[in-house]
Amino acid sequence: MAAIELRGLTKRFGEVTAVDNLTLDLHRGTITGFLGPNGAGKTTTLRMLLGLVTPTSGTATFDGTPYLDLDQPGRRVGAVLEASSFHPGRRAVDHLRILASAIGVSPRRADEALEAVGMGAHARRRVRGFSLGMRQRLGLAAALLGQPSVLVLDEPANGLDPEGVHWLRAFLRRQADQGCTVLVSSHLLAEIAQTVDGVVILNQGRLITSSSLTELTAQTATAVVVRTPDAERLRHALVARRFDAAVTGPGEVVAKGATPQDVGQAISDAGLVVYGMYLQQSNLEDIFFQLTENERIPA
Amino acid sequence: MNRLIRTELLKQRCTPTFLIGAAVVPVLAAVVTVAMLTAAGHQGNAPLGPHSLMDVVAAPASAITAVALILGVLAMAGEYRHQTVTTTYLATPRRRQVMGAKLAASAITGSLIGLATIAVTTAIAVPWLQTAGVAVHIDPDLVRTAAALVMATMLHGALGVAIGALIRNQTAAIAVVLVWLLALEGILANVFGSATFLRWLPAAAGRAIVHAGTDRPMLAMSPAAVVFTAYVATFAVAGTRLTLNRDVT
Repeated sequence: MAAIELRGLTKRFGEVTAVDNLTLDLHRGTITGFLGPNGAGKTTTLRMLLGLVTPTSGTATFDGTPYLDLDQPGRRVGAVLEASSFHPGRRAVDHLRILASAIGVSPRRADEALEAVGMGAHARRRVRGFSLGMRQRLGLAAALLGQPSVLVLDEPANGLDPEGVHWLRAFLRRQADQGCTVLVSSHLLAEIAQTVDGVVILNQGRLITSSSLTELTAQTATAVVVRTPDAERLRHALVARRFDAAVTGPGEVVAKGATPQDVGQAISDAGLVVYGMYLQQSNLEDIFFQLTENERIPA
Repeated sequence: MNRLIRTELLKQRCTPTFLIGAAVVPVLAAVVTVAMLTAAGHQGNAPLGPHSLMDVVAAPASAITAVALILGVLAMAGEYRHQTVTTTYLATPRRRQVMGAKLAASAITGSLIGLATIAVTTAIAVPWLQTAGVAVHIDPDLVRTAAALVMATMLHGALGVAIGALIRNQTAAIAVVLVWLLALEGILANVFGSATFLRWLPAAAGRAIVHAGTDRPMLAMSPAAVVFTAYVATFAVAGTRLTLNRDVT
């Protein structure tokens, strides 16, 4: 049984379908990136998973049990949904002690969790003085209180500086290495691409793809870029070999779908002069945009 | 359930706004007590006498129950204002239990506010009256008045939670409570004179728990307590039902 299962999960707000028939399995000890542009339905999906929003239809379960029916949910699942859900007048440690009391763990866990996210020095400060990044860390500390086996994090990298994002990646990897299942949403693949084992891409409430990072990387397109004074002749030579080639600038030809060997052979056979050649590989971010661009709203 | 009630009481203790509100209670009680004792025997007020202690204990009731009511509103609507309701429901997804714990915790806080008020008023009034040569007795009327005050603050605390569940906007909820308490029923009294139905309205019934038999016509203490408890229960059930069905987005 998967650690997290979504089956035909659907949510409509009036005429708007926020999440449309979503079916997914997430396995133990993996980090899954839950991706999609803003408004794709990620947050609504996570809130349905966590029992905060009632699905119009379908189910969302942890080890086969809906969140609402879990015995001691705070000890099974840790969640961070928004960086602003703190009382600004409370001290960080008090916020955590309240949650520790609610989920039935020792108040000492509050200090331990703050140390785990590098916030031990700020335990007695009031939340109103915290930066967005510190609030994100406090949220993560709250999620860790019950030492859960599943973490559900909604845009945890929002507001983090580059050092914070680096820290977050290492933090998530550590959790997964300890057997924790992590579902982490983001609207920026680059933030989590180095950390996740698999990705789920959502757009306009619908599942676009669910695959391992290896499978997704295999879809990345390559192109060979050549610098040559004979750009037009090289283009002809490549098109004649049925490659998708184009002159993209003065003295520059790009051949999509070709290997450097293919292009080198064409250059040699045509007797052309070349100043340089390199392989250009589109990154995961490009794939993400390609998969979601059809339904994007122009800015 | 006890753990959840303790959690709610801990939340209150860790909230500066709440602590400030609670700190107002002894100050209000002291000010009202000193004012009453000072004014006795002047400008038509009755002189100090055997009933003075009971009058002094009852005097801060309107102000103190209003504080208990507003603290109850803060305990519930404040969760929506600061979006802490998300973490509350993540920790305890069974919302009925959360509501039950909040109602109980605010009732407990209300009771403590009532007891603190009695402690302050008696601490000031007893030596004052003894100095003035008035014999101080603990009679059944005094005990009944003190018990009524604690009951009234307890019920107002719970009512605040119920109103906070019905009106999630904290500012709007407090505005509604104050307008109702300070203005609405007074305006209705001006319009309808001494019509009987006015006695059965929430603020009038709440006031009658402590002040029955004092000034204008109102319900007797026991019916007032029953009627006001019925209002609290009705609002609490309605607030709980609304809370159960709302998406937290």
